[in-house]
Amino acid sequence: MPKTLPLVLTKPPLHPTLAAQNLFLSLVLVQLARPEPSPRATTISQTYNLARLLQTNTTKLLNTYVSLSAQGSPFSDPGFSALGLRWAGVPVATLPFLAWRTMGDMERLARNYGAYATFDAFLQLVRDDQDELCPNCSELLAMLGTARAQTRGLLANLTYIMAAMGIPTPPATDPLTSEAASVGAFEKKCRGYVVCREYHGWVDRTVRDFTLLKAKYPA
Amino acid sequence: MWDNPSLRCLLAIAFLHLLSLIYSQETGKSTPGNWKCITHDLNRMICSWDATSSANRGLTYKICQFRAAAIKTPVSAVAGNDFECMLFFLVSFQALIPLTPQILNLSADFSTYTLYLTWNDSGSVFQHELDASCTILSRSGFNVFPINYDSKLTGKDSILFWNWTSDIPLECTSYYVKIRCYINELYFTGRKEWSEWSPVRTVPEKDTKPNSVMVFPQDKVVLVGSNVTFCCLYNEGKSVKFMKYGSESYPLLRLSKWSSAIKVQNVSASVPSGTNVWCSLVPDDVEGTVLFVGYAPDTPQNLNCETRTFITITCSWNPGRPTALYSKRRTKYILFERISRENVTCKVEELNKKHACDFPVHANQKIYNFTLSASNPLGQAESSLLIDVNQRVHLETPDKFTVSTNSSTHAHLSWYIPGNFIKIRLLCQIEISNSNSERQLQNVSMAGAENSNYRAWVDALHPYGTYTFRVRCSASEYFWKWSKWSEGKKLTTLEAPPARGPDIWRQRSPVGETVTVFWKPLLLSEANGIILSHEVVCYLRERMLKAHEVPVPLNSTEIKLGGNDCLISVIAKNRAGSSPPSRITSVDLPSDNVKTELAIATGNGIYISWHSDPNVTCGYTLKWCISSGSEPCNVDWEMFPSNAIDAVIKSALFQPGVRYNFSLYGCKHNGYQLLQNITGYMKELPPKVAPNFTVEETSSDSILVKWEDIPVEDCQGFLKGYILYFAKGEKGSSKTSFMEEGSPELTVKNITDLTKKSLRILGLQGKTSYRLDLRAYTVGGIGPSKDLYVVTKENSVGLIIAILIPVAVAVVLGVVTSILCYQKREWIKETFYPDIPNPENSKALQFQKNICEGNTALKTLEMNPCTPNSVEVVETRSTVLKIEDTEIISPVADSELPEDGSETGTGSHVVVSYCPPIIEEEISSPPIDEPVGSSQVIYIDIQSMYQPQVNPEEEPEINFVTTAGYKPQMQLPINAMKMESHSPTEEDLDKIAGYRPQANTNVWKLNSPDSPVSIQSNNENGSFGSPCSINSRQFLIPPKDYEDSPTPNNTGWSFTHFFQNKPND
Repeated sequence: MPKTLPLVLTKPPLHPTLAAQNLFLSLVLVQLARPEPSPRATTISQTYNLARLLQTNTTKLLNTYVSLSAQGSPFSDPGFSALGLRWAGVPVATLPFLAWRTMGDMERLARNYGAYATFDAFLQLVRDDQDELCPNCSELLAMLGTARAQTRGLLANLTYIMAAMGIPTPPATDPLTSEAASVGAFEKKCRGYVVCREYHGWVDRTVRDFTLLKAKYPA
Repeated sequence: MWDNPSLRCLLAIAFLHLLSLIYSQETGKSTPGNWKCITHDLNRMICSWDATSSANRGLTYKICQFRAAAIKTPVSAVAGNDFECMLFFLVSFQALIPLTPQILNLSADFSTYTLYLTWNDSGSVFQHELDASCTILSRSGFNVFPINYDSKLTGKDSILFWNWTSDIPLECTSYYVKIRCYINELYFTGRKEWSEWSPVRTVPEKDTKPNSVMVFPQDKVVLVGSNVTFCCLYNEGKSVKFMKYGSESYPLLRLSKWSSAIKVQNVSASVPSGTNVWCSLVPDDVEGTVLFVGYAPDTPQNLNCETRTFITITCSWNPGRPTALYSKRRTKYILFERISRENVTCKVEELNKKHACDFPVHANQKIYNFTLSASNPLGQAESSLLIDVNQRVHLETPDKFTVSTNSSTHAHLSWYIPGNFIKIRLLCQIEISNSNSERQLQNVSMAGAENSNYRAWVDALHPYGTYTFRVRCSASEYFWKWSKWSEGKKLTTLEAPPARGPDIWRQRSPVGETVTVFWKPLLLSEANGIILSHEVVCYLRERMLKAHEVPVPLNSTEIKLGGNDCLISVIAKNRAGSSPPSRITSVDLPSDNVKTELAIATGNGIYISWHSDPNVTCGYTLKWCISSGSEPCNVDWEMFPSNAIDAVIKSALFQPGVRYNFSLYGCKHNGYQLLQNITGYMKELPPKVAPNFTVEETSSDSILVKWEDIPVEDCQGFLKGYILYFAKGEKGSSKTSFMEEGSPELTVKNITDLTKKSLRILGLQGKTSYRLDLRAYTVGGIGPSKDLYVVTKENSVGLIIAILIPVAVAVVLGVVTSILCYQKREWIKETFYPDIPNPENSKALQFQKNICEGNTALKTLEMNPCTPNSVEVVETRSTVLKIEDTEIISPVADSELPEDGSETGTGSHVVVSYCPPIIEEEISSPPIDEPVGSSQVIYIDIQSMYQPQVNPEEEPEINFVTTAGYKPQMQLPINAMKMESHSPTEEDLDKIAGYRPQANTNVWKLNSPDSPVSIQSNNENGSFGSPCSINSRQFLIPPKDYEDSPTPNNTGWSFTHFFQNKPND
């Protein structure tokens, strides 16, 4: 599985800071490709670091997404928070604490994998939507592209860890149909918002997940 | 008109109707109730009546058809009782009611908010044309919209159309449509009634109760400034909190139970992602839509089509006003060519704003008629252009540009232009820039080719010249535009032999044994390469004596003549060859009486003129030498034709203020002859230094000043004279120049005689300091100054005279006086020094008498000088008073005078000064009230002026201070006048009062019986200052005290009593 990791680096850097992040990502992945005496623990640690990096990026992504120039009001209104806004198929990270805390490693990793596999598709969908809605929003488009590349990197790490732990990788599914692209512009904006928001939530959850896993499997 | 069967029929009906009314009344039987006949087509009548009455049960109704009635069909029978038959004439057409119209279709175009309705007019039921009118009733939500529609029935069934555009989206509410019609038959006398309403049709077909919240219109694109209505559909039971367009709330319009709307007017351009319109519902739901607001495309501006390669024609344009619409709503451009009827969809790169489109060139087509159409969801615009492709050739930038040469004057150029130009000729322009940035253009016309290299060559280049070449091309026959310049290529041509021999000169040594040959380096344009060496050859009668090869950079060589003159030849050589020789003879013709003349400075050159010499046949040579520092000077020269008589010599080496010497040689047939020496400046400057001058001689009224010449190198010009300034002035008083001071006594002397080296300045004052200032000047100005200060000598004769005259006068006066005195000695003696003085005759006493008029006590006046005495107090009470005649004691000593007993016992002594008169004669008559023992003594009543202000017992220390010491005499009268008041404030006045005697007179008067009393003692301050107060000197101490005194004292007035009386206080 690790040999598939460099695939995520094929996307050219679109922004100077993003390029630096990609460089960091590549270093992480190159590190993954090297044989380690305790590959699982090392990868967990590196995945944790990657998730921390994503945590910063997703905050920026969400802020950029809701800017006035990108989506306009009400998304750009101060304090905008449509908590009730949902989109079918977008993974939601919220979980009761005990349920999350007592979750087994297998389930924890599988849920992470499933969420990011879905986000991989949704991020591409949102990028396409924004390319059509806001072709001038080059920064947002670049961030969405980077987010997807980093998601793929995270998925590769998860795959590696699950394989190391003997957990079967869920079969690859495409959660979206082509009809997803034929919704109205407002719905696209809402969908993009939900995707960015839940992606941010899921990265937070992944950081917490891997904090647990790191403690459980010290390097 | 009356032939019309319908009309006849109608008349008949009217007649029958009248009959039926009459007949029915005669029979007495009641007619059927609610008898009513209607027709839908004016051809068939449908009658109906009420048969429910019991009285009529069993009746058989028979409707008869009259002949008169042309109506064929209205036969209607009702089966009834067979036993009785009654005949009713009930004839009537009561109403014309058209058939109910049938809606064939009701459809909606949601994008344009338009409803389309079609129905059948059923015109075939009428035999003839009729006017019809229909009412279409549509209802949306709470609103009803009745619309009239007039049509004409043609006797055939027709499909009628009606459309209607709503101002709100059709999705916002369902539309219910029904229709009824009316036949407007003028000749029908019955009632004309509307048909029945058609069945209601609904759009959308089902009366929608939305399953979820929806906002309409969805993603609509509208023009800036439009009015747009948005509606929000929601489930029944929910309610709308607000609806916002962007960030602004609008008032809600209730459309139906589940639909509300807002109306936004005059919308402005939206951001690329559109303006959000959203609907917030109770309790918590949000839905929205996006409105894209922009402009219709502007007409493409500056449409320009040209070909670069003859493969495609590229059209470019300026899109004009931005539409504010992007992505799939952006403007799409289509380039259509009318002749070939081909079109091309243009891909516009939004990001780099490049609006261009390529259209293929057709082989046999020259003329192209392009139409560029721009369209977006809001409209379209177009722009057209007709071109001849051969006249619109704008070539690509020449590529692969190379230059080469194998000659000193030619260069070959080659370049590549992509494209097929077989049908046209090309015009190319070659730019040739030399090293001096001089630019030259050369045009080359050539046949076009297909994707080919093009070649050209340029000539007339200079040997060993460095050039930069560029090329650009265009169509030759129809010039449209030049291509861009190709990149520049640099080339240096090959060398060629120098174009000419160098300029040469020669200079023989003073002895004449050698001659030095000079030559000037050739210009770059003449050298045709790099000069490597010069060959100097000496020929004697065509025979080469000696050859010198002199490498660069030397520009001179020395040749030994060996007693023979020769013809010198100089050749410059480079890699390509040798220059033609330059020749000059070494012969110097003797010259005598060579004069030196001055040249004129022109500022940037030196103007030299000379007299024409008829013997000069081969021109003049002007030679000079410019030295720089300690190195030997560089010989330079210039040649002039034989007819020249003057020249302005210019050189970059000439410097202002430097003297240059020129020698003018004339070239005669047998040699060169020195004709004239010239000296001059390029520009004259003021002298660099001041002349060194000294004062040679000074007298009481003149100064002789001498100065030295200024060195030539410091003159910086031809010296014109000196200016001497002089004026009175002390050394160090002022450093500024005379001119700045503007001294009124400034004298200026201009010395223009340069041979004069001294000057005597006359008319000066004796024993006076003068400042001299000498300056030299040239045409260029006045040089710096040098100051000199000199003091003229004293006038001794006058001094001697001034001394001698008063002395002589004094001597003469003395002698005269002596003589007079001698002669009048008897009289003088008698008058001034009689043996026995006679007061009567005493002038002096007479004088005194006048002064002391009224004071009979005074008889004589002794004008003795005041001899100061001292009174030294050794002890106060019991000690002996010691009085010495000595100098006046300082006030400080006086201040130490003790005044109370406590201090007298300290044993300190006090010296009191006073000025006793020397009394040589007793007063003839003492005053009456004078005490015994003191009647013959008159004191100088200086103490009487002392005014005790306070009781010494009360404030002894203060009194000590205030009464001791010197008292100024300025305020004496004031104190004297205030004595009687004796107020405490007078103490302060005392402190600042005038002179005070150094003891307390009050003490004397009150406590000492021996105290001296003035002759005016009743008045305490009466006698001070009186010139008549003193006439005696006497011991102040009584005899018994005197005996107790341990030391005898000299005679005179004493203060001892003061101190003795003190303890008695």
